[in-house]
Formats: sequence, C-alpha cells, structure tokens
Amino acid sequence: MKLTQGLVNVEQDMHCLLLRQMGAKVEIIRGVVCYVKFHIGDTVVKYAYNINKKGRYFLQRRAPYPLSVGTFESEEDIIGIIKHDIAQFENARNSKMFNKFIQTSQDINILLKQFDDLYLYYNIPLTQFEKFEKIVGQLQNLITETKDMSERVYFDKEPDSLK
Amino acid sequence: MSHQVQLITVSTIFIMTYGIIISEKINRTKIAFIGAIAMILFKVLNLDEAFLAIDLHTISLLIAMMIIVNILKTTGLFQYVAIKAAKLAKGDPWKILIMLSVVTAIASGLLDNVTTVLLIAPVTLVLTDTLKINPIPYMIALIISSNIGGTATLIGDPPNIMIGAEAGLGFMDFIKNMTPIAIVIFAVTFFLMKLIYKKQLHVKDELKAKISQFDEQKTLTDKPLLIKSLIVLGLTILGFILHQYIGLETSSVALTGAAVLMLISKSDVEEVLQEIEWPTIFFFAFLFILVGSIEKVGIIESIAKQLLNITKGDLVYTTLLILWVSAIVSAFLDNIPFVATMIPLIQSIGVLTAMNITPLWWALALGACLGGNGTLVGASANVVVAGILEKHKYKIGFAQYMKVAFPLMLISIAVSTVYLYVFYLR
Repeated sequence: MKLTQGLVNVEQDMHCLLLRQMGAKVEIIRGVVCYVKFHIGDTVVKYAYNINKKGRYFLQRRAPYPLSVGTFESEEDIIGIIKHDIAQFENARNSKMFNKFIQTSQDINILLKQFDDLYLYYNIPLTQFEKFEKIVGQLQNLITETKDMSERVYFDKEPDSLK
Repeated sequence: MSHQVQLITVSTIFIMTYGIIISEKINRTKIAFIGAIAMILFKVLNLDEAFLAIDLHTISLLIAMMIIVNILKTTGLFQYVAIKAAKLAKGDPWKILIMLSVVTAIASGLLDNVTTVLLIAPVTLVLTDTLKINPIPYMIALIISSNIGGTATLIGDPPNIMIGAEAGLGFMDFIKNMTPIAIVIFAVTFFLMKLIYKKQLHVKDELKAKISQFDEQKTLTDKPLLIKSLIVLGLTILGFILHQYIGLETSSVALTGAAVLMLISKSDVEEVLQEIEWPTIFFFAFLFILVGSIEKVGIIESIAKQLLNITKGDLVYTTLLILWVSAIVSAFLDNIPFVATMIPLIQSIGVLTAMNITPLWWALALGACLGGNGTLVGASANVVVAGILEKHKYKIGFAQYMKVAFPLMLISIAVSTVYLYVFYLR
C-alpha cells in the first residue's frame, strides 16, 4: 500500500522507539533519497544516495553489484563519483571480460555475506580462521600481481584502493 | 446574472463539489479548490469576498496548534506517557487498553485527533507486538477514545474549533458544557467495550513481564526542549482558560504560544512549518469560500426556513434533529464540510426566530464529533488507523469495525440526547 506522510511518521516512530529501547542513540535527519539508473548497453547501473541539510551524503551502488561507495560532504562530490564510475563502466564494457568481471564481483559479494554469517552464527576454530586469512592474503597478492602485469586504461581519476 | 441563474449556478457547483468530496474519488483539497475557484470565476464572490469568507480564527488556531505539537512531539513525551501508562497496568492487556485509551482521550482534548492517533499508534503496536496480541481491539479503542476526547474541548476536534469561532463560544464554555458529557460517554463506551473484548484479551505471564522491561526514560530525547514545550503548552492552556476574561481570541492565544515556542526552541523552522498539514488547512479555507457562496445567495437562509417549517420552531425537536442528523451524517461523511454548512444554517435559525440557539451548537458539536465513531470512514483518525493496521498486516473491514462501533456511537448519541434534554431543553 502507498504510505502517506502520516504512516511514514508512524513507521519512523516505531523504529525509533524499538531502537532506543535497545540502547541506541537515534538521530533523525530529514532529507531525500535519490534513486539513479543508467543503461550501459545491456548492463543496468543503479545508485542510491541521500541529500540532507546536515551535510552527510551516503552513496551506494546498487547494481550490477552492491557497493557502499562512501560518505561525502557535498552533492557535487557524489555527482563526480558517479560520473567517474559510469565512465569506468563504459570503458570496462569494451573488454571481453566484462561479463566475467560482473559475475566475479557478484560472487565476491555473496562470499562476503557467507563469511559474515559463518563468523556470526558459528564458533570458528582458529585453524579455520587462519586458512581464511591466508587465502585473503593470497587474493590481495593476486590483485597486486595482476595490476602490475596489466595495462592501465582509465586515467581521469586515481584508484581509491590500489596504489 | 439573474438571481435565479445565480442560485442554479451556485447550487450546482456546491452539490457537485460536495458530491465528489463525499465520493472520495479525487483528493478532497483538490476538488474543494476547484469548487472555490468556480465560485469566483462565476462571480458569485469576488476575490476580496472570498478571502473574507475564510474564517481566519479557525485557520490560525489549527496552524498554531500544529506548530506547538510538531515541536512537542520531537521530545518523545507522548511515547513516555504511553509506556508509563502500560507499565502501570503491569502488562494486563485490558488495563493497558484502558490506560492507552485514557491517554489518547486526554491528548485528543488538547491536540487534533489525527495527530493523537499518529503519536499513540506506534507505541500501541510495539506493546501489542510485545504481548503477541491482536492489535485491532486496541486500535478501535484508540479511534473511539480520540473522537470522544476530541469532543470534550474547543481545540480537540476541527468541528469544535469551527463552532467555537463562529458561535463565539470560548474554551471554558466547551469545558463546562462538553467535557462532563464526554467523560460520561467515555465511561459508558468503555464499560461496553469491556463486555465485548475482555474475554479475547489473554496474555501469558512471561509476556506481561516484558512490558516492565520497557524504559520510558529512553523515549525522552530532548529534556530541555520538553521542559520549554510543557511550560509553553501549560501557559497556552491557561491562556485558553482565561481568554474570555482577558479579551483575547483562542486563536491569538494559540498563535502566541506557537510563536514563543518557535523562538525558544532550537527547532528547525523549515521542518516545523513543513510538518503542518497544509492540505487540511487549505481544505478548510476552500470550504469556507464554498459555504460563503451559498450563504451569500440566500440558500442557507432558505434551508433554515424549511427546517423551521419541519420543526415548527420547537427547540427540543430542532435540537434533537440536529444532534441525530449530525451523528448519522458524520458517521458516513466528512464532518468538516457538514459542520461548515450547518454553522450558517444555525446562525440563520437564530436570526429568523427568537430561539435560544446555544443548545443547537452543543447538539451539532456532539453529533458531528461522536458520529465520527460510527464507521471506518466517519473521521480522519479512523481512516488513518485503518491504514496503519493494514500496513501491519491486520486488515480491519468496514463491517467488522461498524459491528462494534456503530452501536457504541448510537448509545453515545442516546446519552447525549438525555444530557441535552435534561440540562438545556427541559
């Protein structure tokens, strides 16, 4: 059913009541959420971000795979980030590996959720945990190794996580 | 335009506008806007007359109270009181229902009914979820208590605000004449609700204990603002009590309270003003223009004469007719346009006869406010509660609600009949 402003307020009040009873400090910041969609060939790239008066903007890429892009100080920063992201996707789309890249990114997201569940629902033995640490280290090395042997194709912005 | 053509034009616009408002096919504010503009385009009223037809006392009182409530509600006061009440009931489901209903009725006497149910419903749902109990009896009690509580005071329900402004009745007039009967009706209604619901409300002891784990202190988010708000609200109510003695309108008192609270609170002005229910405010303004139009061309006076022909100018008959017709109409239709039309009608009766029309105002207030309890569409608060329940997967049907509430409404009108007869008509 369509929510009227009154029903939105009821939902908000219920959430706040329950969260505060759990011990949370809840701050309500009124704002708007923008849902953005680009079609790049067959690929749909979606974002969600908020605009508010307190100057804290959260940007999330929702598709083709979810990624919390970060918190920014102005809406101009958000448009800049989306602009680069879209340019990078358009560039990456020319690669024969594009579909594999999307599939692997989605698999990594699923893997992350599985690891989260594994740790939070089970008491993992130290030996098993060390195996994960070793594999993550190997993956990080693989990323560095691959970066070093690959030709750079996007120069408008420096990578956020690769030096 | 000849008077005959003007009469036909005005009647057509008015009936079409009210018909579409009643059908709820188009948003009521949009259609009232079109109707009001049509009256100006057809030169029934010029723009100056249209603005003069708007009762600024009613409009400004509504806006001022919305400002005060919008600031006060951010402090968590209402959730605090509701949780405290539930804890005092020690988790007993029937006692919780009664306590929440008392809180709702008192809050409704000071705030408008929709605001009250929007503030109390979240706590009610959290409590019923905790008790793993069906929220429908609680939400029906919320509707009924908000409408009864709203009946009790000048500022409790929009029809009372309109009646007070137009009839020159003050806050204390409503306290003296409406609050006692509202208390009696509340007691009778909840005695009957106990017979209906008591057996359905059973909760395991371990769930009852969970209610005591709620910490009402955690709901208070801004204690300095709470203190400021309560002081301003207290002074505003004191102003309402004294307004007839100090020569100020209730709207002036409320506007003063709103202005002071805006100044001394650190609330964001934009947010507070955005939260005002502007569609409701504009709906009132357009209705006043529509009613002003039919009043100007003499339709109201003509209906008043017809009514007096039927009742033969008898005060008892006229009062009871207004009470029962208002109740039945308000059970099915929006009571605001109905009351907006009835006000000039009663004023015309006063002009045409030597009758003391004061009982007619009380009959209208009781009928229009209590009648709203009769069906799920009888009052805005009812529609809002039905929407909240639906959102939470508890659909309450029109017939399901009416089976409980319509007889209770009829009983409340019967009690009102006795009250009016004994104290005003004998």
